[in-house]
Amino acid sequence: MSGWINKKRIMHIDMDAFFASIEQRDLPSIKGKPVIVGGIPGSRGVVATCSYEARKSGITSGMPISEAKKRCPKAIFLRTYGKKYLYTAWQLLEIWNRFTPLVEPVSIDEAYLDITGSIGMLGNEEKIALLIKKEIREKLKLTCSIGIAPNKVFAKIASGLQKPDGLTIIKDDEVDKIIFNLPVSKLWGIGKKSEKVLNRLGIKTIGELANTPTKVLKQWFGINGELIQRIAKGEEKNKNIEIIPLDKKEHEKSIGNEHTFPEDTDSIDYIFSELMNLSQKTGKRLREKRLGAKTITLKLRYKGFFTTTHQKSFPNFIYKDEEIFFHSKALFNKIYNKKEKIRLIGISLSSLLSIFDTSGNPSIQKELFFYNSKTERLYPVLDSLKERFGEKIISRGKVLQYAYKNI
Amino acid sequence: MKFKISCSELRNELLILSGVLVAKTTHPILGCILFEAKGGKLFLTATDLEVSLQSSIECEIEEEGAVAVPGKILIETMRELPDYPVEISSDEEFRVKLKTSSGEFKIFGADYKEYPQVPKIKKKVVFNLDSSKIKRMIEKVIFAVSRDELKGVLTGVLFQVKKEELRLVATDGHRLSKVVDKTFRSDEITKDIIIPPKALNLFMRNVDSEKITFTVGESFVVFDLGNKCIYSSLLQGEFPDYESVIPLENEKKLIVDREKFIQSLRIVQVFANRMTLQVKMNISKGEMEIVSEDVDRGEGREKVPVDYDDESMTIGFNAGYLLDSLKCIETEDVLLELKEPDSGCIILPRMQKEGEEHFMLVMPIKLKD
Repeated sequence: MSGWINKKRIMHIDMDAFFASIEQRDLPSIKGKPVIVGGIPGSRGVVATCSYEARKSGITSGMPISEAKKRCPKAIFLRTYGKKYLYTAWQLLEIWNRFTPLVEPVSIDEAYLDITGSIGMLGNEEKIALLIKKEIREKLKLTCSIGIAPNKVFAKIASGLQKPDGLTIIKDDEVDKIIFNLPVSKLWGIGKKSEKVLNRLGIKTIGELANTPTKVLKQWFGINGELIQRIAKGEEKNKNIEIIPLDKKEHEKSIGNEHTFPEDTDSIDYIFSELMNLSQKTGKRLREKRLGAKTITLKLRYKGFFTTTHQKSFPNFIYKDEEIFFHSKALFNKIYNKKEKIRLIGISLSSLLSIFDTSGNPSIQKELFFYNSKTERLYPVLDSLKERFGEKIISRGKVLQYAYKNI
Repeated sequence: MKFKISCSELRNELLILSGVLVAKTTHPILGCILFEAKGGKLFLTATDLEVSLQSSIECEIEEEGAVAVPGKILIETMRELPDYPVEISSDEEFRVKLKTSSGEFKIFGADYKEYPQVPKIKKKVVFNLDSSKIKRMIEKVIFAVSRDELKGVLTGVLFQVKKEELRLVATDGHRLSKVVDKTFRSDEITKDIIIPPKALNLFMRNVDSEKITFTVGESFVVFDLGNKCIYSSLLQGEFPDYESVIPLENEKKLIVDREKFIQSLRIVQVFANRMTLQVKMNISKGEMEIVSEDVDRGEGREKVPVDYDDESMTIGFNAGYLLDSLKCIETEDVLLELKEPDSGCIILPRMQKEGEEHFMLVMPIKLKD
């Protein structure tokens, strides 16, 4: 059995500069130019994706738009166009699914494919990879980078080795040669801090990490020491080779929304109005998936990019907008440091469980004092209105004052 | 300040006092225990500003005085010291010295004047209470207190002192427990007071005398246990009108063996979803089937014989809530009073103890269709 498992072949596909490439495809005039998707200068978003031409100026995803503008003044800045990207992602999924039923999308532009079973039927793995690339290029006019290896971790590393439009295949017996000579920072889960510690221990490559006595790593990293070593050895057993197709995936672990203010603010009224807006958005997504939540996390990013989160759990499930608002407001009051202005605020709900039945009634613990059947009946109506006419058709007054003042 | 004291006695008192200290505090003085040596006794105080505990131990005093000593390091030191008398002294810089026959330990203390004073109660009403009775009453309600700090007054136990009864109530908004001592008599009544559970737990752990003095002030209460005193601030706000939510028309009566009911709930609960602890009860004439299922854990069901002669019904509950209530019933049989799947279930002992009334209410979980 173990011999068979070891022969798994996992493919990692990573779309090259996904959002930016889609925009360049649709607007031929910006082809070959530095393109930055995420927001226009003066707006306060961050870079979502940038084209390879823009990367030459040192721009990376997650960088504030203002910073990107400084580094590459000539770049073309575009707002994100979510629906278009999502549609393309569905088209990609359709293509991938024709090569194997075992496709696990990890984000909008990345997926793992278990091609073990397809190899005999469709030709060798190189041929399969080239066929996938060809289809994506011809049908969607986009390029991707592919890595093939015995497990997910190594496949992801492989796809990153030659970008853009690359293909890297790592055979079982080549792991030592290729993967083990790479720096530890290439490994999933090794950030700058861990890299520093490892380097101080004289561990520079993945191979060195795999061969360090576990005891030493445990001393420095605690239980995680064992984990990072197992990852370095490509040993994360089942988790690392098991592909979970979209329809088998458990419901998400959390649902959240964030908002970056157009200008840093310390107006409590404004912040609460946005918090209500986020509560409405998050609440609707939660109910759409028929879920209730037991934990809420509030995220605050201050003017100086200092970010803090705070969490609270409840004895029972919440699913109403005003419950989300009430608890996020309480968390805010608890952690907000009044001396500094706020740049970003976010809400995330976790410990999720399916609590609604097919007719949309929630299965929840009944309240003794605050029982209100009216709001229980309100949500199916609110949500179906938004479904038909868009998010802005109905909202609490608190939100209208700020969030929608421009419409 | 300088005195000699029994190491084991001091250690025992400190361990009790450490229950009051807050682990994380922005105010270092709240991590300290106040030492006051006077009149042949060492007085010790710990506080978190809401609840304070004061106790005293006899000791040989050479020089009276006071100092605040960091609790954590003091307790760690005392834990390791052998059971011989220890000499404790402090200087004007608030350095505390513990001296044994073979060792010397110095701890950096703080000025006793900075230590928060225990409240002085001006307008007050004083009661003498039977300790075992009041302890028993607290045990019957305290489990229903809300642990959610946002729930305000529901995080405490309501005490209603009336001329001819003493009544304790606690609820977290999902279940409620009420106990009334009908033999209680008092010439004076007080307004309704709400006491945080921390003070009540301290009281239950430390009371060993037959009678206690219970003093009620405007915003504080004091439990005087003889050798110890517990001061507690009261929760401010109005307790919700719990009488108005108690259902009056629960006409479906069900009698079940308490032990059997608890056993069945415990085994079936193993298969309940960890986040909801939801169990379903299919009740029919003479029988109650308890069922739970979860995608990750499987399915469990058990039948319990009951005395029930009404129409069949299915109702869902958080098994934890039911068990909490059943645990504080003393009679062999339990009486459940039900109405419909959407309304609360009353849980009562089959027979009330003479002079006492104990009443519990648990709200159901609405089941999926």
